Amino acid sequence: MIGRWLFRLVMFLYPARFRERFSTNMLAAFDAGRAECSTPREVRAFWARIVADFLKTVPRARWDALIDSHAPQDTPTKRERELMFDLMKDVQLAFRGLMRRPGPALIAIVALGLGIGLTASMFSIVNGVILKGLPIEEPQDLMAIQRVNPSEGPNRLTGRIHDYYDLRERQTTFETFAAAAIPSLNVSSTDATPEFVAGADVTANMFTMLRVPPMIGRAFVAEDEVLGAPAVAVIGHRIWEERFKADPGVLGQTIRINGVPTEIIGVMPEAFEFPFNQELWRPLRVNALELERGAGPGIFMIGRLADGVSTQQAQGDLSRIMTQLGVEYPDSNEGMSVAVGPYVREIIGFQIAGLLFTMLGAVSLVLLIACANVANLLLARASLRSKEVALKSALGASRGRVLAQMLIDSAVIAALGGVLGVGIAQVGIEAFNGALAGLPQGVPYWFAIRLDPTVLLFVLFLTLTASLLSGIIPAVRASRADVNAILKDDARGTSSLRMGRLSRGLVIVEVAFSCALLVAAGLMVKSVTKLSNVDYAFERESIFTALLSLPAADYPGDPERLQFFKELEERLQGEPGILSSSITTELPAVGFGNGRIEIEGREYQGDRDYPSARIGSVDPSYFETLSTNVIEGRVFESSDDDRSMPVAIVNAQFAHTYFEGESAVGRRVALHRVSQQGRENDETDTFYTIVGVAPDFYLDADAFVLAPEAIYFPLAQRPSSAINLMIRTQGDPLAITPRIREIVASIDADLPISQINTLGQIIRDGTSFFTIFGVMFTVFGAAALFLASVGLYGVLSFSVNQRTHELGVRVALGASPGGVVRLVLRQSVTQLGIGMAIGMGLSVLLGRGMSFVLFDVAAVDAGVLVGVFGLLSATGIVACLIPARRATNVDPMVAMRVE
Amino acid sequence: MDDLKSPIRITPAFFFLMLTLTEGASHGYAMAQEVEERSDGSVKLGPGSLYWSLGRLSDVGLIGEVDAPDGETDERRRYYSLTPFGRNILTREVSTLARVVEYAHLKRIV
Repeated sequence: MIGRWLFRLVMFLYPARFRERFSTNMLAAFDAGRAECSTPREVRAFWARIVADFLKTVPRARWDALIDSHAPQDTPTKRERELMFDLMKDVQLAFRGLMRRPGPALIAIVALGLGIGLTASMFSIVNGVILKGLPIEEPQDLMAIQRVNPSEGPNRLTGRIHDYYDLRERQTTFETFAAAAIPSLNVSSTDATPEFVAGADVTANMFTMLRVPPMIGRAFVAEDEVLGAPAVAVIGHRIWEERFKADPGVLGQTIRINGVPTEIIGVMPEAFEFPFNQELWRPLRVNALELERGAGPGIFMIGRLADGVSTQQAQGDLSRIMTQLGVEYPDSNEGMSVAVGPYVREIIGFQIAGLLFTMLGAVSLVLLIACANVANLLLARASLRSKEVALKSALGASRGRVLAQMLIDSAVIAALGGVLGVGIAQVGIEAFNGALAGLPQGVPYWFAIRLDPTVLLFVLFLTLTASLLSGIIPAVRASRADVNAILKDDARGTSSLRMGRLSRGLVIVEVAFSCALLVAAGLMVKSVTKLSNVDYAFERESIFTALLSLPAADYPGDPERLQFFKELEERLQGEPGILSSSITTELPAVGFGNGRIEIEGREYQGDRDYPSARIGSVDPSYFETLSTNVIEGRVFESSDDDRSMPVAIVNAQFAHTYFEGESAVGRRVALHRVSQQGRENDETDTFYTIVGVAPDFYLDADAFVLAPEAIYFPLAQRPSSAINLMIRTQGDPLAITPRIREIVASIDADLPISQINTLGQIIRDGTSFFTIFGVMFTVFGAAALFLASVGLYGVLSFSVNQRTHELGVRVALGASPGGVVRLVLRQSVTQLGIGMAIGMGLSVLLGRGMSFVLFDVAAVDAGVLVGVFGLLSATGIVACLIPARRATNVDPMVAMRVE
Repeated sequence: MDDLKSPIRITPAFFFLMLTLTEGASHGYAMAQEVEERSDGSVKLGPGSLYWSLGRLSDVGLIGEVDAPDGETDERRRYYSLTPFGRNILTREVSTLARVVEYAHLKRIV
């Protein structure tokens, strides 16, 4: 229904003659076409066609009309000429009216421009990140399928290869069901420096599912998935350009991936980096028969819905299969399920998606405040012009004509505001893109935030809505006015007061909305400030860090890796400028691994009853390098190696949770076998004896839990192929970079070093995401504060002007200046109070929507509420004092002469 | 007949629309549907394109508007038929195309 209405509205873009001739027929064709669509997808396709059709034919029809304009038959009808004339006259009048008092008009235009611009920037973000989807055919059918444990909440877990094969076999709702694993890949070839590349191991059907064929060469086929088949890879566009100088004969050449010579069989087109920002693809090869169920690489499932299948149906289908699997394989699958959701939303996470929509809601409050401002301005103008309007009515102008004239006022303001808004949106978009470009982890490849046709259409919609919202109340008021009363009224009587009540109501709305936004902004500012002042309890700024990944081909097992660590350690020792160095799998406050654990002597039922904890492998100098020490027991020693007794250090939180009141030292813990993916494991779990208790640190960058339970293992007992180097230096940590490169190259020239930075900077980068949102909320809050104070000032100064006569009489009768100020202020203080009370209530709702990005700040924070109360009262009272002061200066003689 | 010249360039969409009228009058939406079917979906006419095309064709006199047939009650339907001039132009243009296709076959393009 709304669609039909929209269609009729947009038809006005055609020239009048064309419309007159065909509008009913076009509407009939529209209805017939719309009636043929049954599924949502068909409706979308239909609308896409309608929009394309408009874009194509409006200019053509307009061109024809221009060419034919001299033709005699094209003269408009009399009625049309009249309408056109009226319209032009009204627009002219509106302009002239605005120019007569340019100050308020300018404020109104700036207000709407700000509201429209901020809303459009936020919409373009939501559009570019979520709504538009992947740049592939029918992106809305692409689903991410992620493993969940419903009893532990909505958190997404890594998928398991056996589940994938069973789901693929049994599902009936997907056209294609694919999987990918994200390995860590080193790429090297003889003539270029080794580099770390984001790549994916994908099932052979992945590219067909996406319907994106390679630009050169072929995609994977089923034979490529067979274990032992020749090593092949498809490379991304950037690698092709940079490493192969865009050589069209690249097929058949080899690159070394993790040390394995691999043949290039295809090159993907530019701007294809599926699943997130990958540039290198290998076939996923897993020997599922030999792996125990639940083991194997963590995978990630993606499916394309079959025609006419809804997300809910697919979810039902897969949930049913997961329940079956739970019965068949209770050990690994009991209680597990999968969540099916639109690809983009699942990948960026439902919290971020929710946050973006909350922000779009928040920023539309700014637009509403702006509309209230403009409505107030127009109300004021209307009451100034009430006599003129009444006279027109008395002389026979129809009510519709009066209404139209008032609406045109707001349309002119909104149109100018819309133009300004597009400019502001452009600035906002550029700023946001700039901030994203600064994110070290990069953003998914489909992010495209810009002023595209969708956004411009949205701006058009906002402009129309704004002009209606701000114009309709004044217009209806003016057209309904009692002509008799107004003409008899002597300009200071009741009519202006009646207008006053409405505009006071609008001010309350403005204050309420800006109060809510200011609280949101306050919460964000507090959160960002707290974040930058966190006491991390370990050294950060003087620590150099770098990432090394040892390729499996050159370092197939633990002995080779341990040998490398030992050599590296020896060469770093005695290096001038290095105070302490450490090799570890995890950096604190950057991100720790996760695994299920087992405490000796406790009973657990199924796999999922084993508690989870953060796990990491560190060498003996880990705590020393971070300038801390264990609080109980001892740190690891070089004698804690693969031949000695397995040992572990737990953090204080772990000791508190599992051994409350007793000493943790001497107790034994094990990693449950499900966590030991890809590691050789004998059936019995290895128990590690706790030898020390470490202080609590922040472990993750994004979860903001001060101290989740954590276990540290000796690197020598649990080595890994991906390790971080942490070096505490004297002086500038990054100054030793060239020396470190030399040292690593002297051990293995093929090994790339990546992510060179200071620990402090990496931690800040991990939280820069929160800073971006903090800045955005602050901008929204500032805009709201500005608009609300302008609104208060405008309404009050208008009402003082209207009451000049009355105030003059009061002063003449002996009222003191203080009394006059109090009189004027009393009214606005009431408005402020009511508005803030409503706004504080609203802010609770906003606070909930954003609680996910708040660091250590509750959604309702007394300090922020008091601060906003103070700021808003102060601004409000200043905005009122200026006109109130003017009231005291009213010269009684002048005031009396106003008549 | 050789001096007959089309007043406008006959685009594929125009061709299809005119061809739907060779067996008698029809109304706009029915024509659009037939065109989509006959062209295997390669020519899709939205409401704007459809009526813009019909407007052009009738402005230059290749087709003309006719009364709705008896029994048609929907006033929102507009019926068109080929004018004799339009039929001549269509025949001429199609025979030119036929020669092109014949030649293309000879050259083994298709």
